[in-house]
Amino acid sequence: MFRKKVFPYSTVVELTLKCNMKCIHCGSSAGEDRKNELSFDEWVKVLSDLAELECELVTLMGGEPFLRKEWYEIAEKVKDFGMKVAFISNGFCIDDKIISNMRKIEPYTVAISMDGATSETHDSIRKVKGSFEKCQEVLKSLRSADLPTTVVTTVHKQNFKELPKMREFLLNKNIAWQIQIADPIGRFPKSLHLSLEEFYSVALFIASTRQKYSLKEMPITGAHCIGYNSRMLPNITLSTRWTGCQAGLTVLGIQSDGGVKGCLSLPNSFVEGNVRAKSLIEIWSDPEFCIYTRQFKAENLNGDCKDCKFGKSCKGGCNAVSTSLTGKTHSDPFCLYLIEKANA
Amino acid sequence: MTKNAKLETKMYEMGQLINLGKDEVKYALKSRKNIVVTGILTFLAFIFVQNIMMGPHRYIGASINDFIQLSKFL
Repeated sequence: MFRKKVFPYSTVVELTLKCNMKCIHCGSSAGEDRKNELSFDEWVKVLSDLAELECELVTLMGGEPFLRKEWYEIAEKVKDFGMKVAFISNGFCIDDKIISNMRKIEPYTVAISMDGATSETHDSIRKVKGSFEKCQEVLKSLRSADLPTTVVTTVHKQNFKELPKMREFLLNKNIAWQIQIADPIGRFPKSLHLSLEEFYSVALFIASTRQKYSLKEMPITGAHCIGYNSRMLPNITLSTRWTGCQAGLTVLGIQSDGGVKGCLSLPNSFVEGNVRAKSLIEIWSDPEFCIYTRQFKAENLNGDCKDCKFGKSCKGGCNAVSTSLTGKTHSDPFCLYLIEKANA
Repeated sequence: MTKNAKLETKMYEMGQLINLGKDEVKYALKSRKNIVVTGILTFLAFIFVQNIMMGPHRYIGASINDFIQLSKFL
């Protein structure tokens, strides 16, 4: 049993798996919607349970969340239940009507994916011609509508070298920038995954940007999968200290077919229940739920993390990266400390 | 070559992979040093303020005097 009270502070909801793009790095192989996606009434029940579990932030994503017919009504319900709402979208179908509806919702942030500094790179990754131009147009419209805007960039071999050029574009635009690495799950081929050195260069880029520019000029952060316990670099993530994978502790993921897992980034084998079979409160309160984080012990560490002095606090890094690369939890090899140790 | 110097050289090489010049990599390293220096300065400021405010009636932490005493054992 876990002693500390855990609650899903941040829940990421896949509104639909339907998507108007076919990105090469998509971890959920989005495109067609899932068979039997949750109805509006079923989502309302899920949101009511989330509110009861004291969830504070619900992020609506997909697939492409704005392709879900009732996205606005669902987002409105999130607000009615007293939680904050955020969106993650590729921006391709965002028009004036959607922007006007989003303004009514007053989202915490609207995150738009941008994966390159040129249309050549962005469009080839997203497999839709004109998507780069549309992305830039949408970012401009969101800022004009005074909506808090974030750009999310997923890096891999095809685009990591363009980060400095992307920075030039985003500088002084009052747009937050989150950088994350693509994991070899779903549609993403292992051959495009960053090498350890390339990964470290991305961390260097984030650290130097943070030092070179003020937070107002360029609010940049590495996602949960970048940067643990570096001896040479400062913290480059949002939280002050990495305390291990948060799946089932402060984070929760719900698929559009009702499948529940500790974190939406984890592969499908981590689905531990369905809201159609059991209520979300029952699933979350089950002591066996997310046993890999809730009942973590140092003996669970694998690979190089086994003998690492930070193992107990870091808990082996991001479990999504760890399982996709090693097949095991608690052994994320994409670790700044490990890379530095190997090169010292 | 010390461990850190070897690592710093390697970091410059890794920075080049993303077209980061030496200056940019130095920025990244500098920020780490800044954090350490800020931490030390904050700690010293805390001790200084505590000494002025509490005088002989200190009840938490160390004072400069305690520190000097402690350093004899190091």
